[in-house]
Amino acid sequence: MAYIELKDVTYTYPLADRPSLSHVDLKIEKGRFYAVIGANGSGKTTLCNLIRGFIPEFYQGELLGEVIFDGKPLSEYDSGDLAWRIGYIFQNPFNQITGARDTVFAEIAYGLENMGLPVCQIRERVNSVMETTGIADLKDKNPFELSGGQQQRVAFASVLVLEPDVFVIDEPTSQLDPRETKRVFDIIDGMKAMGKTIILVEHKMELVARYCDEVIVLSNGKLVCTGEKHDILSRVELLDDGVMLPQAVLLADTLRKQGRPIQGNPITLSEILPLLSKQIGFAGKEG
Amino acid sequence: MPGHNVIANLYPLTKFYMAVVLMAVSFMLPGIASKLICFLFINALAAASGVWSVFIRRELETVGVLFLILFVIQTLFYPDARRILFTFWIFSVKYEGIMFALNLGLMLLCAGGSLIWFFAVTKQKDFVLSLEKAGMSPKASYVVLSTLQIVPVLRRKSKTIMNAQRARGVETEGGVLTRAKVFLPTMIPLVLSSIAGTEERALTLEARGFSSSRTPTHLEDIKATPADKVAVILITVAFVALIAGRMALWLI
Amino acid sequence: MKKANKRSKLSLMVLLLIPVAIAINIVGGQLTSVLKLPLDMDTIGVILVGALVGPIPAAITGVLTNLINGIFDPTLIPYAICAFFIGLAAGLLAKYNMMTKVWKLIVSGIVLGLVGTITATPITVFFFGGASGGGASMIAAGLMATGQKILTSVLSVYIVTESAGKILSVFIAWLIVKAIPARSLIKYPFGDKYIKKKVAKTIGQGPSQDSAADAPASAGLPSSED
Repeated sequence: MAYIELKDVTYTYPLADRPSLSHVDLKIEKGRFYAVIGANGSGKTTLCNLIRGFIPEFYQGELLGEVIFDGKPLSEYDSGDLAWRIGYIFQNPFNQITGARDTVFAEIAYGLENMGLPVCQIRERVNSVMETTGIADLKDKNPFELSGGQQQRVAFASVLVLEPDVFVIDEPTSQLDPRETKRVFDIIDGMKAMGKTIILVEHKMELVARYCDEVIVLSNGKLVCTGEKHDILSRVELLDDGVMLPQAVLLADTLRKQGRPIQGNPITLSEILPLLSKQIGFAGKEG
Repeated sequence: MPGHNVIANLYPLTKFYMAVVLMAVSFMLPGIASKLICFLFINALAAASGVWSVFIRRELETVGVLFLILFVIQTLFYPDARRILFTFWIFSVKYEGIMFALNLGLMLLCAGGSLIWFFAVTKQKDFVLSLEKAGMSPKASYVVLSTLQIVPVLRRKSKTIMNAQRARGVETEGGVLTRAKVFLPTMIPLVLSSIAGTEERALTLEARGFSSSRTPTHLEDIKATPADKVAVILITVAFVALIAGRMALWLI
Repeated sequence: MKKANKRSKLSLMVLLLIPVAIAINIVGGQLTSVLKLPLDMDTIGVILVGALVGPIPAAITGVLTNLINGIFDPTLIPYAICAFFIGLAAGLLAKYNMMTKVWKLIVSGIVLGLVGTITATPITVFFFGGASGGGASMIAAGLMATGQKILTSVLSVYIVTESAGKILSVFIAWLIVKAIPARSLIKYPFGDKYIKKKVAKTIGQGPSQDSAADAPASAGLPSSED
């Protein structure tokens, strides 16, 4: 059985007169890394809120169908305790600072305090998570006085420290510069190595192609397709749905149209470059 | 905030008890002399707690200013005064007014001073935590703590917006109307962005288990010590003695 | 159990509005003193909570504002009583739909001004002997110099400054409410009072509706770094 399963889910926000997601059937396997892609307004954030249980609890509105998580409907979980099972991180770094604590250390510990963990264990966990997220030197700073990138890493640490099984991450780098983006993806890569289930909304297709396992494509609230990333990202027809595709795919497609097809389904530059040099004598070197 | 001061290191609620007792005392003390002694005692307390300079600055800037204004008003405009000390221009200085002003002013200096002392020797977050441990809801502590954090953030933002307006050539000096025109464009964007942020912050809190039904633990825990017991007993004994003395004064 | 949960989610939005509202009060008050404006604009947040949520949360917002200001200036603490009643009145006015039209706003402003005057005057006169730091007591002193009694002087000064200040504050709170998008307004108990039915209809029709749903609250946020 799938770890998370959406069964014919249709959801309409309050005041809206058409659904943001309609008739979505989706299976998510444990320990896999899913990227959710699609144009603006295709329902990506709605999907995140649904899986995290904020829909319908927080957003109200009309929900048809069912979300199953680890064997039972999401609605049967105590919503207050869902935080320990499903981690949630989103794009705005500033709004992910709770305001409850005045140092980075205490901010990260806040969730564990709510969890009721003994203080010695809290210290241990916070110290270790600050190492993995590279913010140990910010320990005593006020979280409100950090840069956006630092705040985002504090947000990751604050959720990571709760050790949930699933991470729902909604466009974590859209307000960050390339350097901070790289740092955030290093953290996400670390989560994957820990065997966590990850659902990530991301617009930067090169990052999607490089880091994730599976891709979920949404368009206008409907599930277009889902599957292994090479299989999905090489479908050039997705461009018609307003989906962006990685550079390597576009390059392969251009070459194909010029009558010089590339073998296989390369989706990253490091995958396409050797193929290029082998097949058409392209002088590029492996990145 | 002092590090190893015995008084400053007392449990927040012990210090708060002290401040409340001092306030009660300042309301019931009979004359100018006794109130003056009370005020000197609070000064000594602040000095012993290692916060006198902060204490006296805040006291003068707030209650001190009020004292000055009420002194002028009461001295000059005390109703139905019999003893007029002297007169100049249209004003006359009234003896009863001075006495009233001194009585009221010293009482305010004592009452206000005891609170100023309390907040000068107590970290706000420690006070909130002690209230939470005494039974206040963790949600109420969140409201207070996050307010204490958000106020400086918004203050900084309002300064940034005003500076931006100035840079664009908007007058922040000049006539009342010109200055009033700065108010709206500074306030509205500030307020709207903060309100828009509350929805996401609600999700953030949910993601940190804020609504969990578990009993929270406290990372920076504080505990009452034997010194607090001694302090509470001493304060209570002194308070009871003062009340007894005051009653005796009435009866005699 | 489920129902209780739902209510607690709604109250979370209210819970988070209170700190913001207190900050608005404090920053509004400071801004008026920085700009040396003669009116008190330190209850905009209280009125806002009253308009969106109701009397009790607004009263709590008012009291907490004065207590937190009182950490640094204890002379403001007695006026918490004032803020309590202004919050209560603002919430009741909103409850009976007195914050939806311009003429109603003016009436509400005057009512709040009267509430402010009636509660602040005794504090200023009996607690502080007619003094209340700032410009108002200077004007009051001026009136006393012309032979007026302390009570009447303080009262007359308060009636003018309070009413003008409260009318303006109500207007600002209303402008703020008007600028909050409908999908956020519905999360507050009184929010639907300020959503026009027509607006509610067109919201779902534009192609932008879904993208709005995609980024529920990030619209119009300024940079978070200062």
